[in-house]
Amino acid sequence: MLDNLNARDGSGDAHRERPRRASEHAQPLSDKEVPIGGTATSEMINSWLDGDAPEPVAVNAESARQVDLWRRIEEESQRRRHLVTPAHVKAQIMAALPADAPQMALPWWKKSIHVSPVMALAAAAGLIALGAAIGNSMRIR
Amino acid sequence: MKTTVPASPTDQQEVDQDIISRVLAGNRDAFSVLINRYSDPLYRHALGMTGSPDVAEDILQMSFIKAYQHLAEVRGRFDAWVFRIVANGCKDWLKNIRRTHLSYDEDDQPSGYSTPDEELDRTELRSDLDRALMTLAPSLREAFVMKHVEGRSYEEMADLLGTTVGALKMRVHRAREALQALLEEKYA
Repeated sequence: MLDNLNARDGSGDAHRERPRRASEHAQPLSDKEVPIGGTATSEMINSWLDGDAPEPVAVNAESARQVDLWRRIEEESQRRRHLVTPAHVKAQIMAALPADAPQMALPWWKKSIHVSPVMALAAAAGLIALGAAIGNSMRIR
Repeated sequence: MKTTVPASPTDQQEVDQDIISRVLAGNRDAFSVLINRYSDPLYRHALGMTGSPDVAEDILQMSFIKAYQHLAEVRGRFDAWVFRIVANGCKDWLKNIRRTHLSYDEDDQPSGYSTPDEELDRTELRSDLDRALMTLAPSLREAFVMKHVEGRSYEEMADLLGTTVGALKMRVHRAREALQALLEEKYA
Protein backbone atom coordinates (compact mmCIF):
# COMPACT_ATOMS: atom_id res chain seq x y z
CA MET A 1 0.00 0.00 0.00
CA LEU A 2 0.98 3.63 0.20
CA ASP A 3 1.79 3.99 -3.46
CA ASN A 4 1.68 7.75 -3.54
CA LEU A 5 5.34 8.42 -4.22
CA ASN A 6 5.04 12.19 -4.06
CA ALA A 7 2.98 12.47 -0.93
CA ARG A 8 5.85 13.97 1.07
CA ASP A 9 6.32 17.01 -1.14
CA GLY A 10 2.62 17.68 -1.64
CA SER A 11 2.75 17.09 -5.38
CA GLY A 12 1.03 13.73 -5.28
CA ASP A 13 -0.50 12.38 -8.44
CA ALA A 14 -3.98 11.10 -7.71
CA HIS A 15 -3.95 8.90 -10.81
CA ARG A 16 -1.06 6.86 -9.48
CA GLU A 17 -2.64 6.03 -6.16
CA ARG A 18 -4.41 2.71 -6.14
CA PRO A 19 -7.56 2.29 -4.07
CA ARG A 20 -6.86 1.34 -0.48
CA ARG A 21 -8.48 -1.50 1.37
CA ALA A 22 -10.55 -0.59 4.38
CA SER A 23 -8.21 -2.62 6.61
CA GLU A 24 -5.22 -0.52 5.54
CA HIS A 25 -6.74 2.69 6.83
CA ALA A 26 -6.96 1.24 10.31
CA GLN A 27 -3.26 0.33 10.54
CA PRO A 28 -0.60 2.66 11.92
CA LEU A 29 1.95 3.76 9.31
CA SER A 30 4.80 1.79 10.81
CA ASP A 31 2.86 -1.49 10.49
CA LYS A 32 1.93 -1.01 6.88
CA GLU A 33 3.63 -2.90 4.10
CA VAL A 34 5.03 -0.96 1.17
CA PRO A 35 4.98 -2.82 -2.13
CA ILE A 36 7.42 -1.79 -4.85
CA GLY A 37 7.55 -2.42 -8.55
CA GLY A 38 10.49 -3.51 -10.66
CA THR A 39 12.05 -0.10 -11.34
CA ALA A 40 15.72 0.63 -10.69
CA THR A 41 16.21 1.96 -7.15
CA SER A 42 12.60 2.88 -6.78
CA GLU A 43 11.42 5.82 -4.74
CA MET A 44 10.25 3.37 -2.11
CA ILE A 45 13.72 1.87 -1.71
CA ASN A 46 15.23 5.36 -1.46
CA SER A 47 12.64 6.33 1.17
CA TRP A 48 13.40 3.17 3.12
CA LEU A 49 17.17 3.67 2.93
CA ASP A 50 16.75 7.34 3.90
CA GLY A 51 14.83 6.22 6.99
CA ASP A 52 11.62 7.89 5.84
CA ALA A 53 9.60 4.73 5.26
CA PRO A 54 9.47 1.13 6.47
CA GLU A 55 11.18 -1.64 4.53
CA PRO A 56 9.27 -2.21 1.29
CA VAL A 57 7.54 -5.50 0.67
CA ALA A 58 8.31 -6.62 -2.85
CA VAL A 59 5.44 -7.46 -5.14
CA ASN A 60 7.46 -9.54 -7.60
CA ALA A 61 10.66 -11.54 -7.81
CA GLU A 62 12.69 -8.71 -9.32
CA SER A 63 11.80 -6.21 -6.64
CA ALA A 64 12.39 -8.88 -3.99
CA ARG A 65 15.93 -9.27 -5.30
CA GLN A 66 16.45 -5.51 -5.23
CA VAL A 67 15.32 -5.29 -1.63
CA ASP A 68 17.58 -8.20 -0.76
CA LEU A 69 20.53 -6.54 -2.50
CA TRP A 70 20.06 -3.32 -0.52
CA ARG A 71 19.59 -5.25 2.69
CA ARG A 72 22.98 -6.84 2.10
CA ILE A 73 24.61 -3.56 1.17
CA GLU A 74 23.18 -2.02 4.33
CA GLU A 75 24.53 -4.93 6.36
CA GLU A 76 27.99 -4.34 4.90
CA SER A 77 27.69 -0.57 5.47
CA GLN A 78 26.75 -1.21 9.10
CA ARG A 79 29.84 -3.35 9.53
CA ARG A 80 32.05 -0.60 8.11
CA ARG A 81 30.38 1.95 10.37
CA HIS A 82 32.02 0.24 13.32
CA LEU A 83 35.55 0.28 11.97
CA VAL A 84 37.94 2.21 14.18
CA THR A 85 41.28 3.83 13.55
CA PRO A 86 44.06 1.28 14.06
CA ALA A 87 45.77 2.05 17.38
CA HIS A 88 49.21 2.45 15.84
CA VAL A 89 47.96 5.25 13.58
CA LYS A 90 47.11 7.54 16.50
CA ALA A 91 50.56 7.00 17.98
CA GLN A 92 52.15 7.63 14.58
CA ILE A 93 50.30 10.92 14.21
CA MET A 94 51.44 12.14 17.63
CA ALA A 95 55.02 11.10 16.86
CA ALA A 96 54.93 12.91 13.51
CA LEU A 97 53.70 16.24 14.90
CA PRO A 98 56.22 19.09 14.72
CA ALA A 99 58.06 19.66 17.99
CA ASP A 100 57.19 23.36 18.06
CA ALA A 101 53.80 24.63 19.11
CA PRO A 102 51.62 25.84 16.24
CA GLN A 103 52.22 29.51 15.48
CA MET A 104 49.55 31.98 16.45
CA ALA A 105 48.07 33.72 13.44
CA LEU A 106 49.19 37.38 13.65
CA PRO A 107 48.00 40.23 11.45
CA TRP A 108 50.71 41.38 9.02
CA TRP A 109 51.44 44.63 10.86
CA LYS A 110 52.28 42.71 14.02
CA LYS A 111 54.65 40.31 12.32
CA SER A 112 58.37 41.01 12.78
CA ILE A 113 60.37 41.93 9.70
CA HIS A 114 63.86 40.53 9.19
CA VAL A 115 66.09 42.69 6.99
CA SER A 116 69.54 41.52 5.94
CA PRO A 117 72.40 44.08 5.54
CA VAL A 118 72.35 43.60 1.77
CA MET A 119 68.62 44.28 1.65
CA ALA A 120 69.10 47.39 3.85
CA LEU A 121 71.86 48.71 1.55
CA ALA A 122 69.78 48.04 -1.54
CA ALA A 123 66.80 49.84 -0.02
CA ALA A 124 69.01 52.82 0.95
CA ALA A 125 70.51 53.00 -2.54
CA GLY A 126 67.04 52.88 -4.04
CA LEU A 127 65.85 55.73 -1.83
CA ILE A 128 68.92 57.86 -2.71
CA ALA A 129 68.36 57.25 -6.42
CA LEU A 130 64.69 58.14 -6.07
CA GLY A 131 65.59 61.33 -4.17
CA ALA A 132 68.13 62.31 -6.82
CA ALA A 133 65.61 61.73 -9.60
CA ILE A 134 63.02 63.89 -7.86
CA GLY A 135 65.66 66.60 -7.21
CA ASN A 136 66.72 66.61 -10.87
CA SER A 137 63.19 66.88 -12.12
CA MET A 138 62.53 69.87 -9.81
CA ARG A 139 65.74 71.61 -11.00
CA ILE A 140 64.76 71.17 -14.65
CA ARG A 141 61.50 73.00 -14.02
CA MET B 1 30.11 14.40 13.77
CA LYS B 2 29.86 11.52 16.16
CA THR B 3 32.14 11.77 19.15
CA THR B 4 33.17 9.50 21.94
CA VAL B 5 32.10 12.07 24.47
CA PRO B 6 28.36 12.68 24.50
CA ALA B 7 27.85 16.41 24.65
CA SER B 8 25.79 19.09 22.96
CA PRO B 9 27.45 20.66 19.90
CA THR B 10 28.01 23.89 21.83
CA ASP B 11 29.61 22.11 24.79
CA GLN B 12 31.71 20.08 22.42
CA GLN B 13 32.86 23.20 20.60
CA GLU B 14 33.81 24.84 23.89
CA VAL B 15 35.76 21.80 25.01
CA ASP B 16 37.53 21.68 21.64
CA GLN B 17 38.34 25.38 21.87
CA ASP B 18 39.80 24.84 25.32
CA ILE B 19 41.99 22.01 24.03
CA ILE B 20 43.09 24.15 21.08
CA SER B 21 44.10 26.95 23.47
CA ARG B 22 46.18 24.49 25.48
CA VAL B 23 47.93 23.21 22.36
CA LEU B 24 48.63 26.75 21.15
CA ALA B 25 50.09 27.53 24.57
CA GLY B 26 52.61 24.76 24.05
CA ASN B 27 50.86 21.66 25.44
CA ARG B 28 51.51 19.41 22.45
CA ASP B 29 50.10 16.31 24.16
CA ALA B 30 46.67 17.91 24.46
CA PHE B 31 46.31 17.44 20.71
CA SER B 32 45.95 13.70 21.30
CA VAL B 33 42.52 14.39 22.84
CA LEU B 34 41.35 15.80 19.51
CA ILE B 35 42.87 12.85 17.65
CA ASN B 36 41.13 10.35 19.93
CA ARG B 37 37.84 12.18 19.65
CA TYR B 38 37.68 12.60 15.88
CA SER B 39 39.94 10.06 14.22
CA ASP B 40 37.39 7.22 13.91
CA PRO B 41 34.76 8.98 11.78
CA LEU B 42 37.52 10.64 9.76
CA TYR B 43 39.26 7.31 9.21
CA ARG B 44 35.99 5.73 8.05
CA HIS B 45 35.49 8.60 5.64
CA ALA B 46 38.98 8.25 4.19
CA LEU B 47 38.61 4.47 3.98
CA GLY B 48 35.24 4.73 2.28
CA MET B 49 36.56 7.26 -0.21
CA THR B 50 39.83 5.53 -1.07
CA GLY B 51 39.01 1.87 -0.42
CA SER B 52 42.50 1.35 0.95
CA PRO B 53 43.37 1.13 4.66
CA ASP B 54 46.97 2.20 3.97
CA VAL B 55 45.94 5.27 2.00
CA ALA B 56 43.27 6.13 4.59
CA GLU B 57 45.90 6.00 7.34
CA ASP B 58 48.23 8.25 5.35
CA ILE B 59 45.52 10.79 4.61
CA LEU B 60 44.46 10.79 8.25
CA GLN B 61 48.02 11.34 9.43
CA MET B 62 48.73 14.13 6.95
CA SER B 63 45.43 15.80 7.77
CA PHE B 64 46.03 15.85 11.51
CA ILE B 65 49.56 17.19 11.01
CA LYS B 66 48.17 19.93 8.77
CA ALA B 67 45.47 20.64 11.33
CA TYR B 68 48.13 20.93 14.06
CA GLN B 69 50.24 23.33 12.01
CA HIS B 70 47.28 25.56 11.21
CA LEU B 71 45.49 25.17 14.52
CA ALA B 72 45.56 28.91 15.18
CA GLU B 73 43.41 29.42 12.10
CA VAL B 74 40.44 27.40 13.39
CA ARG B 75 37.29 29.50 13.34
CA GLY B 76 34.12 27.79 14.52
CA ARG B 77 33.83 24.01 14.84
CA PHE B 78 37.08 22.06 14.89
CA ASP B 79 35.35 18.83 13.75
CA ALA B 80 33.92 20.46 10.64
CA TRP B 81 37.25 22.15 9.90
CA VAL B 82 39.31 18.97 10.20
CA PHE B 83 36.67 17.05 8.23
CA ARG B 84 37.19 19.44 5.32
CA ILE B 85 40.94 18.85 5.47
CA VAL B 86 40.41 15.07 5.30
CA ALA B 87 37.73 15.33 2.60
CA ASN B 88 40.02 17.50 0.47
CA GLY B 89 42.89 15.10 1.08
CA CYS B 90 40.73 12.25 -0.23
CA LYS B 91 39.66 14.22 -3.29
CA ASP B 92 43.25 15.21 -4.06
CA TRP B 93 44.30 11.58 -3.80
CA LEU B 94 41.48 10.48 -6.10
CA LYS B 95 42.50 13.08 -8.66
CA ASN B 96 46.03 11.75 -8.73
CA ILE B 97 45.42 8.06 -8.82
CA ARG B 98 43.83 5.51 -11.06
CA ARG B 99 43.17 2.34 -9.20
CA THR B 100 41.73 -1.03 -10.08
CA HIS B 101 40.87 -2.81 -6.88
CA LEU B 102 41.64 -2.66 -3.20
CA SER B 103 39.71 -4.41 -0.48
CA TYR B 104 39.46 -4.45 3.27
CA ASP B 105 41.82 -7.41 3.56
CA GLU B 106 42.43 -7.21 7.27
CA ASP B 107 38.70 -7.33 7.95
CA ASP B 108 38.09 -10.36 5.84
CA GLN B 109 38.54 -12.88 8.61
CA PRO B 110 35.48 -15.12 8.90
CA SER B 111 33.13 -14.34 11.76
CA GLY B 112 31.87 -17.03 14.05
CA TYR B 113 28.25 -16.45 13.11
CA SER B 114 28.11 -17.58 9.51
CA THR B 115 28.81 -20.63 7.45
CA PRO B 116 31.86 -20.65 5.16
CA ASP B 117 29.59 -20.23 2.14
CA GLU B 118 27.88 -17.21 3.65
CA GLU B 119 31.23 -15.72 4.60
CA LEU B 120 32.61 -16.24 1.10
CA ASP B 121 29.51 -14.57 -0.30
CA ARG B 122 29.91 -11.63 2.08
CA THR B 123 33.59 -11.20 1.26
CA GLU B 124 32.72 -11.20 -2.41
CA LEU B 125 30.09 -8.53 -1.87
CA ARG B 126 32.63 -6.41 0.02
CA SER B 127 35.05 -6.54 -2.89
CA ASP B 128 32.34 -5.93 -5.46
CA LEU B 129 30.93 -3.04 -3.45
CA ASP B 130 34.40 -1.48 -3.18
CA ARG B 131 34.94 -1.88 -6.89
CA ALA B 132 31.53 -0.40 -7.66
CA LEU B 133 32.14 2.53 -5.30
CA MET B 134 35.41 3.29 -7.06
CA THR B 135 33.58 3.78 -10.35
CA LEU B 136 31.38 6.53 -8.92
CA ALA B 137 32.22 10.20 -9.35
CA PRO B 138 33.94 11.50 -6.19
CA SER B 139 30.98 13.69 -5.22
CA LEU B 140 28.56 10.75 -5.48
CA ARG B 141 30.91 8.44 -3.61
CA GLU B 142 31.40 11.04 -0.89
CA ALA B 143 27.65 11.44 -0.44
CA PHE B 144 27.04 7.66 -0.40
CA VAL B 145 29.86 7.01 2.07
CA MET B 146 28.73 9.76 4.42
CA LYS B 147 25.12 8.56 4.35
CA HIS B 148 25.56 4.80 4.41
CA VAL B 149 28.98 4.06 5.88
CA GLU B 150 29.24 6.96 8.31
CA GLY B 151 25.51 6.96 9.06
CA ARG B 152 25.16 10.74 8.98
CA SER B 153 21.89 12.60 8.54
CA TYR B 154 21.39 14.72 5.45
CA GLU B 155 21.37 17.82 7.65
CA GLU B 156 24.73 16.91 9.15
CA MET B 157 26.15 16.22 5.70
CA ALA B 158 24.86 19.55 4.40
CA ASP B 159 26.47 21.29 7.35
CA LEU B 160 29.84 19.64 6.77
CA LEU B 161 29.89 19.96 2.99
CA GLY B 162 28.33 23.41 2.80
CA THR B 163 25.57 22.38 0.43
CA THR B 164 21.84 21.77 0.57
CA VAL B 165 19.94 18.72 1.81
CA GLY B 166 18.16 18.49 -1.55
CA ALA B 167 21.42 18.40 -3.49
CA LEU B 168 22.81 15.71 -1.20
CA LYS B 169 19.67 13.57 -1.47
CA MET B 170 20.02 13.79 -5.21
CA ARG B 171 23.67 12.68 -5.04
CA VAL B 172 22.89 9.76 -2.73
CA HIS B 173 20.00 8.63 -4.92
CA ARG B 174 22.15 8.83 -8.03
CA ALA B 175 24.89 6.86 -6.27
CA ARG B 176 22.38 4.15 -5.29
CA GLU B 177 21.08 4.04 -8.83
CA ALA B 178 24.60 3.55 -10.19
CA LEU B 179 25.54 0.96 -7.56
CA GLN B 180 22.39 -1.02 -8.15
CA ALA B 181 23.00 -1.00 -11.89
CA LEU B 182 26.52 -2.32 -11.28
CA LEU B 183 25.62 -4.95 -8.70
CA GLU B 184 22.14 -6.17 -9.56
CA GLU B 185 23.23 -8.42 -12.38
CA LYS B 186 25.25 -10.47 -9.95
CA TYR B 187 23.31 -10.07 -6.74
CA ALA B 188 19.74 -9.18 -7.62
